[in-house]
Amino acid sequence: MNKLKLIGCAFSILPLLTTLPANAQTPDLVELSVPDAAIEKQTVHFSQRISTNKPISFKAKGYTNISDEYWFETTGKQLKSGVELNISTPGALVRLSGKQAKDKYSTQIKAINPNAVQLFKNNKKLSAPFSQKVSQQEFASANIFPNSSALKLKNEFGKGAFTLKVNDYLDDNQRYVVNVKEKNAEHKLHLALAKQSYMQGEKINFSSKLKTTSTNKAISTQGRPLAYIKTPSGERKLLNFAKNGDQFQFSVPTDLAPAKRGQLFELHVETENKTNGLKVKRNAKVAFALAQPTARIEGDAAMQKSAVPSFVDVNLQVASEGRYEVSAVVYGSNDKKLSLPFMLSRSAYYLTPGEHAVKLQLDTDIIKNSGLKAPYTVTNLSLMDQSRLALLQQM
Amino acid sequence: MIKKIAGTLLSCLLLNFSAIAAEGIAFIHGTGHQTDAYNDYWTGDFVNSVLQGLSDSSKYTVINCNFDQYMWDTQASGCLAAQLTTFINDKNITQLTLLTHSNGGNVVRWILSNPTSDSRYPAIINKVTKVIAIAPSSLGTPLADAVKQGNVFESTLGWLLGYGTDAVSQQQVSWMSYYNQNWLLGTSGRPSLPTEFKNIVGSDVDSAFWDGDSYCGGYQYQVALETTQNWLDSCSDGFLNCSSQRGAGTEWFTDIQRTNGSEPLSHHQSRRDCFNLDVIIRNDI
Repeated sequence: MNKLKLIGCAFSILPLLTTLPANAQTPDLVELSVPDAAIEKQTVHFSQRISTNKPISFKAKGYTNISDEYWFETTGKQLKSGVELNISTPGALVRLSGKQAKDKYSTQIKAINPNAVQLFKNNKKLSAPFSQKVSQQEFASANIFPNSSALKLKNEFGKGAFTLKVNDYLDDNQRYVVNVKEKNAEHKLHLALAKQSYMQGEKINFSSKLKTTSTNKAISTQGRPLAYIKTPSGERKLLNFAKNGDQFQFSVPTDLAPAKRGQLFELHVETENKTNGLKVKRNAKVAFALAQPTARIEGDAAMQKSAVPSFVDVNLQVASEGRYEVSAVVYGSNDKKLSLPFMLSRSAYYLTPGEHAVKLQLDTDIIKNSGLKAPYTVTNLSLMDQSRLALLQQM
Repeated sequence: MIKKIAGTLLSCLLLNFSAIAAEGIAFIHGTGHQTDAYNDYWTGDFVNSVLQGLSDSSKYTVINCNFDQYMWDTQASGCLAAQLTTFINDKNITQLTLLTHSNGGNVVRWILSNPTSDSRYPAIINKVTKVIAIAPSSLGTPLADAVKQGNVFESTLGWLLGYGTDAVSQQQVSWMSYYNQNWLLGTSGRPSLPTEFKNIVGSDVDSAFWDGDSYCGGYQYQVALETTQNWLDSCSDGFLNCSSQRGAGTEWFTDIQRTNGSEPLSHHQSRRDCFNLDVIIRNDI
């Protein structure tokens, strides 16, 4: 269990040679216990050449998941009596996966025999509706989908509402996931986050649009999507979200189980829409990281005043014991006085709570051999919490 | 005359350097907890064929680690760093080629991208001359997402979908997008890796039972891989889209450009001596 304690930190402006402005909008720092993991204690410096030709960017990038599928949970009992399948694309693939109870690792799960699967349309049983059947054994041989089988519908049966039944013995209470994958679908759900890294308490905007593939335009939808957060441990938390322009906004629930080192949370969205009389169902998800402010850069970083500088002074305020890396990209000037990036430098220290003046070491050999001249500058100063695998600041 | 003497001296220096340089290769497996990767993951035929490219074929190691864990875990990159350090020190390796398959490329990229997180990493990085990444899952795979679908539980019941290892979670597409943006180098827009990272891309799966080529590496795998193409792009090796395999570093070649008979390499065939792959790699190390 992480110990959480707020520390009020006065923001101090130090009289350093300014090359990089510090971010004054950082939240209060928190004190967390040291993670239960092997954390390096030695100070390590590393610089590497980087290409002066390739453009690099540390700006946070968004992510869009374009989904042509949906999935839902059902039981053995429901599968025996029949579950509704909404197909919007001819030739859809249906995957059936048996789930395992978390506390029943030894229990054998009965995967579904694809030869026992029947398909009905308008209450009529279809004759030989599948063009491809894959058994549990075939998936298992390639270590791909556990306890799973798959069936591909013949194109000739088109789209619409179908009923899938399993004519076999299944445990009534056994749970299954039914996944309908519609490759080349005309309707796809676009779920987008503007970035994938957030600080605890930050508001998150997302957009969820059903688009037609042929025009790439959003179509009007009915109702609000269902949205929830999936924690790394598999817990599902339904979200209350508000409309914010053409996006939706929510605050991350504060009672989420903490992630282990490096694990991510997921935003899931489920939609169901009627388009030209056809029910189109889609699920989509995007992963994101939630970090806690365990340390921050104070004041401005300053490069050594030298023809060939060997370090940059950086001041850190640390609230949580752990290992922190400061890094930056070093630029030099070419003959046309154009500033070009040529070196990525990093220094990591194991630090206890308090104020620390650390040095970001630069490799003077790389500087001398770069073919670039002073003035040398640093940009993209970053602070990472290596103990907790969290991005804390990027300037 | 001066030029001639300088040339002779340079030749001597180069000869001496190659005489003292000790080249080695490490075979680094993909997802899974390996204890005998030589037999179970690569097969001796593949390893021994590749080793013919070394001047001293004893200077190799086959890594056995737990790559079911996240790439940063001590059992993954920590274990890899320990075995590489031992190999480098025991064999006095000065120039090291890393040959990776699948998720092994990500574990190696973790070390190359996070040199300050472990005091052993800089010494390893300084010895690595190149990484040959066979079918690396650099941008993840939609199959990992599919495996994790529905993998939620209500706290009272606790139902899970199997094969939910940490490595599978990590290789979900949007997860890898986050890790590539924040923790890994070598993808588009990010600083380059500190050493060459060149990819071999598998582009298709042959599973026709009448085609003998389908049987290289085991036919039973091919049928399942053909099916998984439904979740993947038209260019994929049955596990990974070509775009993922090309997502970090530089492309060395796509299978059909260099293999015998222009045969594609499925994800399982790209760690076997199929269609001259072993010889192509041997001639490059």
